[in-house]
Amino acid sequence: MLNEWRSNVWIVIEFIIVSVVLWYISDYLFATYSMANRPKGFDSEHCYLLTLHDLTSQSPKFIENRTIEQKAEDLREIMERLRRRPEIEAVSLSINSYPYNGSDSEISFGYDSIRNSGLHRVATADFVKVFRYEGINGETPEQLAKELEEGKILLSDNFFTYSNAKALRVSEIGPDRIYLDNDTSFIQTGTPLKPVRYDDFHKWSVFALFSRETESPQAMLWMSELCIRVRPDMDKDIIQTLMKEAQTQFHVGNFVLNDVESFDSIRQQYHQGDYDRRRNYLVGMGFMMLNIFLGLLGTFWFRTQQRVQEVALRKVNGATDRSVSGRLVSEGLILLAAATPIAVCIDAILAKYEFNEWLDGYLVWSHLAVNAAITFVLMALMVVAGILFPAWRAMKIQPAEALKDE
Amino acid sequence: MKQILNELRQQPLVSLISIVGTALSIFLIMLVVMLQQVKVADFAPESNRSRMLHWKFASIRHTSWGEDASSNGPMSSSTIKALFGDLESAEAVTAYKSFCDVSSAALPGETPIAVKMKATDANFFRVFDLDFIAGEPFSQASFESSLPEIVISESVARSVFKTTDVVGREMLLDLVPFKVTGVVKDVSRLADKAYAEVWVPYTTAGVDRNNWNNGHMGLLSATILARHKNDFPEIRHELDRRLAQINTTMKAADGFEFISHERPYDQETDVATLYANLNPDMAKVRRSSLIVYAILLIVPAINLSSMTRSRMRRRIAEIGVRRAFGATVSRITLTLIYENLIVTLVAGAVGLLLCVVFSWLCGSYLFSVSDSRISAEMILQWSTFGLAMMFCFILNLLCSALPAWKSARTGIVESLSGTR
Repeated sequence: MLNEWRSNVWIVIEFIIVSVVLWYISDYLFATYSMANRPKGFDSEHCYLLTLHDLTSQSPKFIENRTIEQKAEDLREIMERLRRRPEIEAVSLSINSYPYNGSDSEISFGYDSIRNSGLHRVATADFVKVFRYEGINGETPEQLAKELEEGKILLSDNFFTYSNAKALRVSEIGPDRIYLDNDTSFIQTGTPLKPVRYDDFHKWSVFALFSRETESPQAMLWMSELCIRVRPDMDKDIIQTLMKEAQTQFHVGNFVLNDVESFDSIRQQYHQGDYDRRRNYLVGMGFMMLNIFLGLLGTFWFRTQQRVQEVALRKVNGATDRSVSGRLVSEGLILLAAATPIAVCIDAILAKYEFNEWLDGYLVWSHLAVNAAITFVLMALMVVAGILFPAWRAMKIQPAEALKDE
Repeated sequence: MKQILNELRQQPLVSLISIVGTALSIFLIMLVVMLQQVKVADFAPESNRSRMLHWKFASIRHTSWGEDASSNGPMSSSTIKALFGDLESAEAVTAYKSFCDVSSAALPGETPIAVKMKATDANFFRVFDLDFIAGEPFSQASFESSLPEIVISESVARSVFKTTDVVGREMLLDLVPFKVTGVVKDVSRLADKAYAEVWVPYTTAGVDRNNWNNGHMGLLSATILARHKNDFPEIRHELDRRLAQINTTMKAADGFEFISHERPYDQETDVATLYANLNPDMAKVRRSSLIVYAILLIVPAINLSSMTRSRMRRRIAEIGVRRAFGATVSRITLTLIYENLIVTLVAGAVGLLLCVVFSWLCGSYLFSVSDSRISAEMILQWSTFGLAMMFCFILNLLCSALPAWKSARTGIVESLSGTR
């Protein structure tokens, strides 16, 4: 092994580079997959977004001089017609609020001297039924909707604790203690919600939902998002069914249904960049592993060729096939073991300077250990796979044949 | 050449690994290149990307908002007119709605389909070369008089009319009757500025109903087409002067002021700039792509260099003979590098070919677009070949220079006696 030190140094350098790259990718995938598997606090399956168009005066169907009240009544009628359909479970109106809409709109609340801000969402009460939000003690969306109707504001239980571990959870704060920032009067909050995440890959889950005054005509017209939840057993061809009636059933006043889009597709588009990145990293990971495989295959193939006599001598002295191949494989693994501590140090430095992915922090030792272990195992697999073929060739060496020149 | 082939044949496995390794790394590097290239390369209907400057969003601040606060987004038609109207240094300027709208398209009484609608001016069709299979764009006069005229894509024509021979016919767009003036070939989503399924004059789309910040901001973006790339500085200069004028007037009138953030951006800067409220940092973008390329080159190079070394060790005796007959170290080194280069180029060509075939067949997956209209000009540019060659040279130098020099330097006696 020492005789081959020159090429071994190169292998170790390669191992270090590949190990750091694999760790970086593994850290990213670990962070995103674990985040995606944590509870989101909402359920957008079987949900659809409906786009209504407000006719312009150029249309022959345009009705002149529609007042705000009449327009709001038209909108209410469309929602009512949707609600009457057997396949539709809930209908809501909202602004910058549906999951995966990318709005960072924030609002601040405080209690005593503690303040924090969170996602600001404004919607009609049935919004919680559409996206199935839940209270921390399992309160149903129906119960929550009732509270919203009473004018209460729903805050996620972690509203103050998310960025301040010493703060109280909303469920621990008594009534008449929470106030809107820049306002002296206390607000009425309803059942604390389970944390509602910003999207599939972000941890941010501080959330406030308002329903106050959303029934006023002005507010209704201001809210442009019409969302529906379809009963799971009837969720078939709903887009086509609704679009067929777009210009009859769903044309009221100057409003007409333009488009129906499923939340699966909205989510897909919203996260496309993340999915692409994940795919590119996986390909990069495969490429790095293949490189190790090919590199070791080539190097050890050459080595066994060079060391035919040595192997033959060992066999003459009683080495078994297994010990011959084991020796070669362990050579590779020792090199990997030599490279790993250096690579882990580089990983830790990268994590300290926040070059990696955030999941409960950048430099979390348990995550570093898990990802370093994953990296080591993946590389070890490639080392074994890459050396196995040359090792198999070494086992087949006939001592008499190899030593005949001596 | 014969010698190279012979040498490759002598060690089939090592040679195969060298070739596969090289091809694989060129394949992957070129995929990364292509992912970037489709964003900046010239292809129809954005054939003039290299002559384009974009002003997608504007940034505006107000004296009462404080130093750091700004509002960022598309512009109103009045801002567009003041900033880009009759720009002398440019060939043409087009303004269009920043985002496509979803509209319903149908014949009267039929079930509508949802289409992506882009509201534009008449110059849009000068700046972007949409391929008309029938008719022509709506005219400047129609645009100015807000006539409901529409250009539609081939697929929309087929879905709505069941034929593409529809110039002059009427269809309903959001229940407004529009006259079809032209039918164009479908546009790939990769041409994201030109992309839509139907195009209408923005004067018919009520863009000024949604203005904000005292009518300075709205829904429009602009793209400038320069006569030549060399005119960029002049165009920037003219725009800077205009912006300064606008700011002086605006500041006095209502306290608003535009921040340029180094706009307008060329295509490369435009796609790399994610945040409208910050200056673009192209050095950082280039640095991260350099790191990716470096990793993709160095890791295989280390492997390949050990293959090369092992191939060269076999030839140590031959090198000894050559040196004994008077060949210099540099000459032998160059010969060895050159021989290796040929192998690298052949393998690189295989890698590039694989890459082109892959992007052709799996383009919609690779570029994450739902359409599969990947044309040859999107993925095959002269620069592609140039870059592939360059990467081959670098890879070759990385993996063969050191082993070649070391082998060539081996003493004649040692080489011939085989002690090394």
